[in-house]
Amino acid sequence: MANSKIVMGKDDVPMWESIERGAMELQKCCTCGAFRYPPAPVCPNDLDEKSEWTKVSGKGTILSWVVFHKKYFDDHVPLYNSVAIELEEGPFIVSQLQGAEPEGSWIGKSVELIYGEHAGRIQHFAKLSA
Amino acid sequence: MTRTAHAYIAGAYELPERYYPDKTLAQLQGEAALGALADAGLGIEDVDGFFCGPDAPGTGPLSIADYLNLNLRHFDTTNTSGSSYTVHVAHAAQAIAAGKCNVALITLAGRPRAEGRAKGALARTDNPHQPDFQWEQPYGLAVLNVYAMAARRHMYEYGTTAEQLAWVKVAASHHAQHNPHALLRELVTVEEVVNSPLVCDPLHRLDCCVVTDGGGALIVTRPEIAKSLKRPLVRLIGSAATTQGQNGGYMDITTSGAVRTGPAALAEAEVAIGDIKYASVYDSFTITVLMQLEDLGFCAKGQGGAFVADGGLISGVGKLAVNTDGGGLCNNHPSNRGGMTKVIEAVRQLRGEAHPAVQVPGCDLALVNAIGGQLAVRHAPATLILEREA
Repeated sequence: MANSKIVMGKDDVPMWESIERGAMELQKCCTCGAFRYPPAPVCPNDLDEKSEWTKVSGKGTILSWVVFHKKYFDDHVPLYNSVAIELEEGPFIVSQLQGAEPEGSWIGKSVELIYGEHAGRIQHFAKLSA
Repeated sequence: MTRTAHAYIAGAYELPERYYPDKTLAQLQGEAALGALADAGLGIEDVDGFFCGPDAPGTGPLSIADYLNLNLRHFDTTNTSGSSYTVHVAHAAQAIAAGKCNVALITLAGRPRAEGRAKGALARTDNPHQPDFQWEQPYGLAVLNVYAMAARRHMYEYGTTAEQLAWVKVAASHHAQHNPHALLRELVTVEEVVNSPLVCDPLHRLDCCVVTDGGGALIVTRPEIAKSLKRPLVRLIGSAATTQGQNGGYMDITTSGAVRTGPAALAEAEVAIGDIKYASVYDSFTITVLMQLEDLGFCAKGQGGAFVADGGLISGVGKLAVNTDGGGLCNNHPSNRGGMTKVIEAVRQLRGEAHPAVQVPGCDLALVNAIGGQLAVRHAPATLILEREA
């Protein structure tokens, strides 16, 4: 077993740097305006190559969630959750919900991104919106 | 039927054991190859096309071709994870149609149990340099996670229940009890599945496929050769494959790419989904089967839960016999790649050589669908339509 790792390809560096600053930026297509995730050289909507790193609001809703009971990584000790979040800018991302958990289904709950240390790196987490 | 087929599956063989601590990968590849050739009534000297995945030790096809003394005109190492071998059947048929080979050998063998590897044909294929891994790794997602994400969302959108998912495993166990080689031959109940430990909520241990050593092989050949052999004639009449990814964060995680490959393969075969008598459907997890059945068109989207419930997939009981060897959930998932065994059981059914307790009467048309990679992220579904020629 080992720690989970982040991707640090050419496309990903600006995203992780923005996460370090506590304000995640994603690529926004210069032609159609679509945000995309994960970072990539082309827009999924119109395949345009020009994009601008643009700060996202960090607001979104939970699309799905899971709770791990089995250990897969040294740095993620069960019980821990992973949530798929549809950002208000459009694309969905994966994060982990911290703090209060919803009663019953988590799907559709409003969340916002917060930032914190994990395994020696800064990454985002989600918390339920007030 | 007057339609022509370019290729026939003349040989199929599944290695009998599920744990191979004392054999090498090359030995297992070789035993699988020779088994399929013997089944077809052909010899190693007849093979002029070779298809393998990264489970074959060495460099692409070279090491096993060398080891088996293959004299090749054509080879292909397409790797789409578990669906590779299903893709290989279609690629072999294309090569045969193009005159590039006459007798194609497709092999799979692996030892994840003996080697202590729970996933992947290669050692830890979760390469952090894989460009699309942002979705999974940093946030503790492994493999099961994305299937569990899809299951949870499917439950939300369509009211699918854990009990309905459990029925997929229950059906597999009903079939596996008749398979003397199956890893798990005990009948299980819905209650046992939903009360088994959660691995990644909402999926339980018994929602997951087995980890097994072993493998199998197939022989695909041209019509003249197939008809010269003494085996029942099973021919490929339709095939389709696709890739599906995250699409920049705009993906429906409850729909697989089988929504495209199923209709495309059926159209090529000029048959309707309702004509299918037997289906081999990739069963890495229970949710995998349920989503594919919907996407292939066996039932409407969202109706998978009702379709599989109450023995819906049990041969002779339900609406559609699925994975009558016990599938990956109970029988075999060799090398953590299920595409090969899916084809093998479809061939058994079409030949009338499945276990009598699970044999579909008059089985003349079968569908095989494999999901390579992972649902809810990048995967490469591949569909085959196979027909028994009278």
